[in-house]
Amino acid sequence: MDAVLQLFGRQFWTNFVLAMTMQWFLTIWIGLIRPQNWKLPLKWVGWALIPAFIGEPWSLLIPPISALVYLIRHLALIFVNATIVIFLVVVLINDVTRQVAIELWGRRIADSVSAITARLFFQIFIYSLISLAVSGMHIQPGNLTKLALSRKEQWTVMAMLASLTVLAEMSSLIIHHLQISHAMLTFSLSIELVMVLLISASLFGFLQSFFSRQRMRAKYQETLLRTRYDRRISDQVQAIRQFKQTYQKQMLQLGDYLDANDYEGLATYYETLNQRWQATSHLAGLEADGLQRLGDPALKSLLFQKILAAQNRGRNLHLEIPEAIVSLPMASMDLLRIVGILLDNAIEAPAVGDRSEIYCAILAYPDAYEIAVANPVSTLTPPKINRFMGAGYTTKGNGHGQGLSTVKELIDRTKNAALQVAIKRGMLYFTVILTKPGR
Amino acid sequence: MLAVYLCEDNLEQLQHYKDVIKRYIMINDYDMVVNLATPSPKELLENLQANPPEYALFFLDIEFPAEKMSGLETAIAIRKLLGFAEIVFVTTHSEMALLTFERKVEPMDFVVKDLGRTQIDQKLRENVDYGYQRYTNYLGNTENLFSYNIGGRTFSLPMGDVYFVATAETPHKVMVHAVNQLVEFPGFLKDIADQYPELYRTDKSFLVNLDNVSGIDSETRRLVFPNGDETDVATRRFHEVKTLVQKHLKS
Repeated sequence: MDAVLQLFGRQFWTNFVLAMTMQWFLTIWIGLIRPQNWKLPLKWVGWALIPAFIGEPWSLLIPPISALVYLIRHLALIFVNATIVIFLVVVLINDVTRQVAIELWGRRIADSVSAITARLFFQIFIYSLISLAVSGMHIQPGNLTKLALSRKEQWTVMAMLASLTVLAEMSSLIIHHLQISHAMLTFSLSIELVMVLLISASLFGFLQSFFSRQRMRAKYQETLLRTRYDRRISDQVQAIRQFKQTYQKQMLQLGDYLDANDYEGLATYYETLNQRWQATSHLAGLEADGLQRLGDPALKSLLFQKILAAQNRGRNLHLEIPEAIVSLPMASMDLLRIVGILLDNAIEAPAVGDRSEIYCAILAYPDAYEIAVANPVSTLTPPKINRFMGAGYTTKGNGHGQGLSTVKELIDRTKNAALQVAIKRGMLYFTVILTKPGR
Repeated sequence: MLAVYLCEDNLEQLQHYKDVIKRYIMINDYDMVVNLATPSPKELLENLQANPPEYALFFLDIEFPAEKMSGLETAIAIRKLLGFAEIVFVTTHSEMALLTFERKVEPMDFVVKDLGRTQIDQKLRENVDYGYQRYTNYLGNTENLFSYNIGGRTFSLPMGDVYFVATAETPHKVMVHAVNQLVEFPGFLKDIADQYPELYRTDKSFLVNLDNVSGIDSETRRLVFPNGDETDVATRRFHEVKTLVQKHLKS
């Protein structure tokens, strides 16, 4: 490290300018530059003054270390490694330009103030180039969650970056310790630089294509869900329109009876209407019963939709929301998918004898929320719950049953989620437990 | 002694339930007694606070229009008050918020009044039987439990029902495979292995209850369970597991 650090010289301004540049680069890399962050340059000056006043070569490690600490504390380790790689590449470039200068004009000119300044500017130039490239690629840590990398993918990328780090650092150290002429040293350093540059360029190219594919996939899923959500709303509108039509028809019919003075017919017709109304009266009472205690509008709409869907199939969906619930601690899209799949599954399951009721509850506990769905199942041939979570299990014929494996996948992916599946007293219960964050 | 408590605001029904249960206890000569039959949940809770029984079985109505307290609140209060309490809800179908009761109280059963008198009586007797059986199991300590914690709440199931525990595809999650149950929750296999030494670690991702293994496939080196599930066995442990399983299968 000494040989490398020696190159920076001991001047205050060298340290100051380098620290500023590094921080500029690191901030772009971390992705914090936004208009509301106007105090940021002041922070840079603060951080840059520290190594400048210390004036030792090692003090230049302070800004990158502080940035690294920030990265380690807040974000994925991938970016720590990538930052180190870029730092080493810039150091290597600095080293090579110095050796080339010595080779061309001799050691005295190469270490003169103007040469050091020139090299500094060159370094700043390189840093800026990389920074621009990085911000153009949109792979800052701030975007990491959107990429939805699995743990295995994260480790692979990290291993690649780590090996690149070791490669770059080791090779330049070894070359500096070899007993060779200065021309050879310059030559091998240049070769090394070219190699490291090529490797990192290809690595970053690979990462970018990989990330963009991930982004595409995430976007596709989101649009898929959004269209589903839109469709649900239009289904609701459809249901309301239908209701209006039936209502109008009934009014007309009543008018006909009145016009014909057929009071007996009117009485019987009223009787049938009354019965039909009783069957759908809880539809009107929906808002009063539980749903209004739910804060999440998307979930509310989904539940409403499913209650209608259940009614269309002649099933009754009981909703139990005894306490007010503002929001549930889970990504909205994932939550909707899980609840949608569980309810679809319950609604599509065949009724058992005269038991056709479906239950759904959202319950609050001190440290958790719970979403439970239950439907009757045959006591003689109960479904095999151990087969549920594998893809494709269904009691409803082909094409169904893909959903439950998706539920498992989503639960797997959500840190604070747990799932209980049980058969008890002729009922199949699915319960998703979401622990409140910070518990 | 298992104490029985009845709470039902219809006095006629209350008397009938009491008679049915008393008679059934006498016929079977169970170590049980009807401690209290009251129309008021408030009185019930006051009585419990004054002289709490060690083991108790409750038959509760859900709606008490005359009182401020509902059957659900009463049941939750009972759960807080007593260590061993089996609760049966006796109610009409329409007023039942099934899932809320199931999840918040974990009752032993629901008796639905709409079924008609003979059916109700039959159900009451069944529940006396079942409650007494649980009580004797509990006393004999034959009921070994597997417990786990999610979000500050403890759930448990009989150890005899557990087939195996496996790591989920994501780290920090485990999945319990049991008779009629499947549970996935955040946790570590190692902690469970430490807590329940009776479970055998056959592989880095499986903890097996060897009592419930129904077969062994030597070719693929896997254990087979009654529900058709299979678990891997690590090569170096296979011989040991095989001898253990064969011993279990014989006994």
